[in-house]
Amino acid sequence: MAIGEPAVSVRGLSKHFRVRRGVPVESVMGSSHWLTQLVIRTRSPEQRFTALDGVSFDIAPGEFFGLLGPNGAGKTTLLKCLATLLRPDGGTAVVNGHDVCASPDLVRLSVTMIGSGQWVAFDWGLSVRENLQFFADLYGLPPKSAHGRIEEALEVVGLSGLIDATPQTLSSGERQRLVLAKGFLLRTPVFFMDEPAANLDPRGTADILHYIRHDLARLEGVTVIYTSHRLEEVEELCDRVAILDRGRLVALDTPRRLVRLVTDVEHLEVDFTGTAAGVLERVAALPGVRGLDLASGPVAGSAGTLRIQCESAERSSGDVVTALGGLGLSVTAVRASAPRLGDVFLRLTGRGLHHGV
Amino acid sequence: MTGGLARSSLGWRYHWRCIWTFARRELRLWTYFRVNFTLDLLVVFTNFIIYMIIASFRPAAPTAVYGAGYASFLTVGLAVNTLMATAVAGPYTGLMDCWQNNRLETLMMSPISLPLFITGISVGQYARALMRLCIYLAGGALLFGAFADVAGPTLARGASALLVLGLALSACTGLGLAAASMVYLVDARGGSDPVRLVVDTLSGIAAGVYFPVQVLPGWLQWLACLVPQTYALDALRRLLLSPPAVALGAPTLPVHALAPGLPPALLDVLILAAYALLALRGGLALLKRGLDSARRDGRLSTWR
Repeated sequence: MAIGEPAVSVRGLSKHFRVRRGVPVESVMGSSHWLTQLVIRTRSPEQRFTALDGVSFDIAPGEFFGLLGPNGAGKTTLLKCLATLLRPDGGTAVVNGHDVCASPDLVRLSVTMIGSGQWVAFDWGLSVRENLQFFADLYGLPPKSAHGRIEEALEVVGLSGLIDATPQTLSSGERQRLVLAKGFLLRTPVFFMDEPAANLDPRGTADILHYIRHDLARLEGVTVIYTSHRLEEVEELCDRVAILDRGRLVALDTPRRLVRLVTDVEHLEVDFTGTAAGVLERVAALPGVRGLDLASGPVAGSAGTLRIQCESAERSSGDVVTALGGLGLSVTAVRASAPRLGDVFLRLTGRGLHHGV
Repeated sequence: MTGGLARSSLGWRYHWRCIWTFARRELRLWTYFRVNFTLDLLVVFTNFIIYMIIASFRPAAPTAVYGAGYASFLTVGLAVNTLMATAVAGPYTGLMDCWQNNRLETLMMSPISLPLFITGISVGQYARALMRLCIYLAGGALLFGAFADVAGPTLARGASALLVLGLALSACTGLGLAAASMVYLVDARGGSDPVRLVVDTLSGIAAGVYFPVQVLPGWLQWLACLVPQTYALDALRRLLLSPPAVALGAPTLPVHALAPGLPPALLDVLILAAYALLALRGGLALLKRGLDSARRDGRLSTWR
């Protein structure tokens, strides 16, 4: 990669999936499966689903870059295209100076991918050390340094005491730590992290994020593309944030500048308990409410929080309490709140990151 | 900051280390449940005994062309076929195992090349096949008197037999790559595929594993000529079981009549070499095409 070149450059990247109303693979396992699939291919109509729609951006070397969007926005598809696991249908993408379509082998030597569900790739019958040794060998780490790297990575993720345990005996959080340890074995110039802190407890999340931000990004200068549903993480960690919605890039800037887009409205957070149908629609219809998102919950019987954008927090708070009370919900707290990235998403797309309207 | 992994560092040592690390992993998983491991061995042994007992009831087959009795004929057939069947099935089974266990994307993100990847995911099955081969050879010799009627092969014949085995495994691996490509080319992700269906059927019935090809109807003998197992078994039996005159002598396959000037064993080797070259190139091209198609459609992993 030449000096001054971006670490990642994406131009007009598009990805479509062809979807057929087919029979799930698992339901026709056996000798006739391939024949069944052939029949389905020829007889069922094909639908086209756009996962990425002309996405363009550059990421500077050493930048901590956030990708934000609801489920299905195209974040994972974008990362997979950049990691050469998916072939884009249009546009170009260059990672560490190598085109993902023309030189996929060179791209793979330059990147590390850390995903939230990758623990399934570990062998249940091998110990933590043996699993990491397997990947260290595949990634070409010299045997002399692999041992030290494995111990170092396990220490970073807090699994040193479980080096001889098998993954089948680990909790879901510990398995995710093992995924992170596998990723930290290498020091590639570019890291793709797809919800890396999923399943981690708050303390573990804080430690891991500190390592990623401080040690990996600042001290070692690696470029990180980071996706998460936890807005506070993205706001705190990322130099810049791209917001994706339905495969389109709808905004790209620093978190601070993005938040300025929504300073023309006021923000309310309303905590409530109970469940009822049509809550979002009822509150959205109140006068002065410009948009809302269900920031958390509610699971049956547990608490939930509504984030509301409104013309006047003072005027709307009473209306909201009355409306929720009318639906049988109990309001436990109402407070004015500072604008957040989720509010930006709501403004730009008309939908909340979680379940908004 | 480092510049990523250097391609130059991934030399032959890296390749051997990868194969060893795959083999070590397979061995650990294979022997993890010791009861099942022991039962695996017993099943192979009992199957072999059943084959040999059935063989002892059958009337004398025209195995004389190879200059050896039926026990030797069948033992070589079973032992060699277990390796060739592994070469055909290995890539498909390994790929499906990776796909079903969601390991494929993670492995595809590593810098291993496609041939190394296929070798790695097949190596455990070769270990099992070698174990079966040992049981067949030892059981045949110790319990059923196989090879008692055979003079030991000379050095030249032994070397030639190894060459034939290498060519046969290459040809079968080519077919195996084509079978693995079906996982994505025709969406054969349910445990079977059209390539293995054809190859296994032909090799099981007509390639001469259990009885000589000459006892089959003429049309089936020609169909037998479509699979490499037929040539490999014919050449290996000539080299390992027959006296020198027989090895060079009587034709046993219909294709031998097409080139009467060439010794049948030599013709077998030439056909196997051509088969290996074409099958490996074609199979690898098909598999690359299949994986490209999976990368386009997002089918590399179980979960998109």
